[in-house]
Amino acid sequence: MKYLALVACLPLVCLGCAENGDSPMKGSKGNLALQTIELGDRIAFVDTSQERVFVVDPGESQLVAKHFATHRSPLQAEKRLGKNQLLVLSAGQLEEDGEQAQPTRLTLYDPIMGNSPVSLDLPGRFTRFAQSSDGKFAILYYGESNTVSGGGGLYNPNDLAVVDWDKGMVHTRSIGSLGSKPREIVFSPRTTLFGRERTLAVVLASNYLTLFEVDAQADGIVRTVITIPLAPGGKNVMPQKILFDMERPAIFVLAEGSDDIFQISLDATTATSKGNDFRASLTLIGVGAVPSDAAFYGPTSDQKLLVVSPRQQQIVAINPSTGQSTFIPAPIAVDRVYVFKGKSPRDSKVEDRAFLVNQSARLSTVMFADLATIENAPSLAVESWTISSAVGEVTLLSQGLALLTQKNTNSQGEISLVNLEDRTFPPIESGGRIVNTWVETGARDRLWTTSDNRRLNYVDLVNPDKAALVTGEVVLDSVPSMLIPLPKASSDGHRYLVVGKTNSSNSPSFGDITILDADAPTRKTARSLKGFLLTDSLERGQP
Amino acid sequence: MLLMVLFGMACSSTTASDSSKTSNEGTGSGPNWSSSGGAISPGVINTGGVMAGGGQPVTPPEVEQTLSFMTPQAGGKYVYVANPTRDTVAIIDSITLAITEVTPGDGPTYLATVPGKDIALVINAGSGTLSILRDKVVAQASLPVVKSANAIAIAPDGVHAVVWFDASRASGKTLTGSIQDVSLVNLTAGAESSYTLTVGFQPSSVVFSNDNQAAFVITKDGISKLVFAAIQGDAIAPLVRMTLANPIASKPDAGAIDSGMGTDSGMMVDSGLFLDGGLIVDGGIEAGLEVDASPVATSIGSIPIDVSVTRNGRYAVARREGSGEIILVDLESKVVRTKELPGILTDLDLWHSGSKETDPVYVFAVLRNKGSLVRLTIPDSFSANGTTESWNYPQETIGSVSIGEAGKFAILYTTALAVPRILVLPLQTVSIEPLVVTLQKSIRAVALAPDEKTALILHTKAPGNASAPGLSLEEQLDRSYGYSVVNLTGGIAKLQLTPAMPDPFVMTPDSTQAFVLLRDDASNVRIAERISLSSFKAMDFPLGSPPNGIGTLSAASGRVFVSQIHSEGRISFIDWNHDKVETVTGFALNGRIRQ
Repeated sequence: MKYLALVACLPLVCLGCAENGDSPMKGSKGNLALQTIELGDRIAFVDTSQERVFVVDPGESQLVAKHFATHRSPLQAEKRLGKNQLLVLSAGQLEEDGEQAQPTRLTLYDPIMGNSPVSLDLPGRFTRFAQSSDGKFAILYYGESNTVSGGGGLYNPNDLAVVDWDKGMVHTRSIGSLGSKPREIVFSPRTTLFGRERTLAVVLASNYLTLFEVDAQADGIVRTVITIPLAPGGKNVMPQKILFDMERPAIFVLAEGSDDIFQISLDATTATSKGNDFRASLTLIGVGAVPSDAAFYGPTSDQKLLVVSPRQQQIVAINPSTGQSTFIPAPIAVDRVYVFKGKSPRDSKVEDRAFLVNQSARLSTVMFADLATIENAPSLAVESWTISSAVGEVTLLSQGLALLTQKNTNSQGEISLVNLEDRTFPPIESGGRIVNTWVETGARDRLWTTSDNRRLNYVDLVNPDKAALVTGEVVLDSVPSMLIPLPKASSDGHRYLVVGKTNSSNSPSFGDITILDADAPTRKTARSLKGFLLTDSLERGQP
Repeated sequence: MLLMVLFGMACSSTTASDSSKTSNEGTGSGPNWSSSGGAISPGVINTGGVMAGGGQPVTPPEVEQTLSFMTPQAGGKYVYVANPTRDTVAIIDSITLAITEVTPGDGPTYLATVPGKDIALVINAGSGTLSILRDKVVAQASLPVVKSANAIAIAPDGVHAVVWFDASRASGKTLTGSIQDVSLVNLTAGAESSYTLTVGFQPSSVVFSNDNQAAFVITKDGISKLVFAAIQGDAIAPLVRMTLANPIASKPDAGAIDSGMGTDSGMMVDSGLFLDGGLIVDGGIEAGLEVDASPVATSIGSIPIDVSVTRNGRYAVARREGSGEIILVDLESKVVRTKELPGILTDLDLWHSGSKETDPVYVFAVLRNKGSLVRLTIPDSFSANGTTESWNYPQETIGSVSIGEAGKFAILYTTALAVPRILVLPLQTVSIEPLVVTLQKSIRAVALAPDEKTALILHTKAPGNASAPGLSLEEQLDRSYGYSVVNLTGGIAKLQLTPAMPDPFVMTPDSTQAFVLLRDDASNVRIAERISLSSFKAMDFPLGSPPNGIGTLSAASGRVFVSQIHSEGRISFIDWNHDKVETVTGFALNGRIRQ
């Protein structure tokens, strides 16, 4: 299951997304932030102020919160990708009068297995971590805007620690610097490259990238890091988005400050005792303006790239083989591209097509592009439609549907379902004022909303028999600010929905959640767990 | 003689080239010699004659073309690209696309490569020095070369190079110092050296003897001969003049040239150069002061053009524009002989009938207004009783002759008039009738594949829009760009129309493919078009930026490179065996990748 939170204040983790900013848990002890993380069939709450993790299993007949302490000063918590496990990075503590130093630790909790947490003492006071999509690797680094807890000691911000969970190893890696420090780390899909299964890490920094093979060191293979400058002609360039084409193989980089797409091609070379068995070469592909989004299309063996920029009324199709950019005039400037495979009103063939919108300008005009013909017949391949409301968020659903929602939900009628194949836009309206909106995808495609009259409403967006939309409603005790549908059924066979309030400085919570049946939510079967953050507080001391 | 091509950079890469020009003067690009005349690309194409005041038809000169390449230049595996603004040379591995950036000196600008080898020479314009790059390494400290040098010619064996200032590429710079100096560079690893030699006025090209032991510098004054073994320091190179001060008019023989008899005995002259106290280095043949011999000369007037040197370096031949005179210079004895043919010569080309020293060498001359091709034996035809052979084609218009490296065919045609026909004359059986191939458009240039089984004909374009309404098919064809591929044995020709002027082009060393570049910025045409020389099928490779140069790497690499206009530098490699294109952009950034 994958879900997206559409409310800015909701502190949910966007799974599968590269982290762009600092963790909402940034800060130290005393922070009221409470992070909520689904772990398959149960839910975890990481309370930084208490330095404690609470886990609730809705499948148990008696709702209780099991809890255990984190190490000192948790900085970041995430679900381990691909697993129902929890990763918590804790800053530890510098030595002070009367207190021993504690190292920075990365701790792996497995509440389902019930094993003791596995803690790794880290060779540095790292402030951030990034994960590979399969959860096999984590890389610890010094985030660009983070400072080391406690402020003491000297360190090299370009030192990294690589964790191989399968091998249970941590090793350090120092990357070259061209005057900056890591801002973000992204991983390639795990793939066989030049005869060896491997994962690559790309470290993003201002004006350059660093590329290295993650698992080589754990396998006893010496590999050098590859540093790739991205600042032609002295421009200030900040890499923003990375796309991996592991068939070619190549890495594509979109960067703020550059009108080019950077294509980093990887070619096999003879490995030396100190070198890599591949080389990187760089190609700049002009797209006319700073790109905001890009997506692959075409056959996997020869993927092309569709690039958009809000600064020009044209979209760009790139053939990476030739470096050729085809500029396609567009009726509006767009900033997001969503590629899907499907038919069109004029073409019954299932082909790659794109749905294009401008989210930042909140335009009510949307575009479709037929990618199979976009280079040869560009004027015929693009068409635009004006819909009833401005476009906010876009969520691709199954069966050729998408949902358009607004961040600003003060007005009604700003939710539209898009039939990508028919190119129709049925609106979804509400009888009350919508407060919060969540889109659930995966187990089912469902829109959840809350209104200021304590009602939780939902609508099933994908209806296999294409009958009328299935809707439902539950009256809650209060308006929740947090809603998490659990992706996995619990031991009792039910899949649950967890709603509640998150902590905020305005309304501190002691942990109040309501558990509903995610597939058939009713007030009658709902259960509540109140004050779970205080569980065993007397036994464990101060809350 | 027209357009010797171009089977990849292996031919043309011996000469540094960064500019193009249009000329109807010879550039000395004989079939066996490395031309140093620089890139000559198409200019105004003459498509028809005009009538002079007296009613006599006045036809323009044949258009000489040497389609050559801008930077980059290809070695065996690497492509070298000079970047004077960054003081770097980017070295691109054609297989892995890895780029190495080296800093050979101040303002590396003019670059040439040893044919088929990963050795490049680059003139650092800022410091007036020459750097040698072997593979990816700057070989040693740079060598001084002549001031303002902008041209490089490298001997085929890669041991010696001549560096000079080519005034035709001066691009408006203020001239200072002398333009009669060349640098002779010894490229032997570990024994690199550079000597300055005084040569004739305004050197324009350099050719090497086939034993790689001497170079001949073509100048306005004549030919300066550099015998490498004899040059141990700065010196004055002996000059053999081809233009003399006191003419003695030659008298054409009354005999008809189609009789096969000679028309005129050559006038002999020792055109020895008077040198005032200078050291003459001439391979040990002559040294010391020479006195100008009796001023017995052949003619005055225009400067000799179409200068070619025989492979053994013994003779040079040339013609004068608007004249029927062929000049033969014995480069050893410095004797100049001439032969006056009864008509205006429009082209010359040498033909070596075999690879042995004793095999006869001929010069073919074209008399356009007579429709004649004349063959002269070197040197016998220039003796007092020397004879010539000629073939008349009164129904055809021929003004140019092209003879390939292997010397299988002479291609006769005209670029001066709108005559869409070529005559293919087998040279080994020269008495047979030529194969006449009718084309659909008039001719701009002709190139032979290395195996001389096919020829690529570039066509002219008539003014006007080919898509204008109401045009006949013929008018549309006339107004279109295009080229033809011709099978030289069967005479089959295929016209391929193109959306832009096909220029420049290359043929692959294995003679399987030809590539032409098509560029029209206004119409966004950016294409490398490949033509199979076996099936004549064309295939387009779209490019990301406007192309500005093309060359082939070694046959083993199977790759053509296409350089393109891009602020960060862009080059595409086309694998002609697998139809695969790979592009790399950003030479400077690539050179700074640390891996």
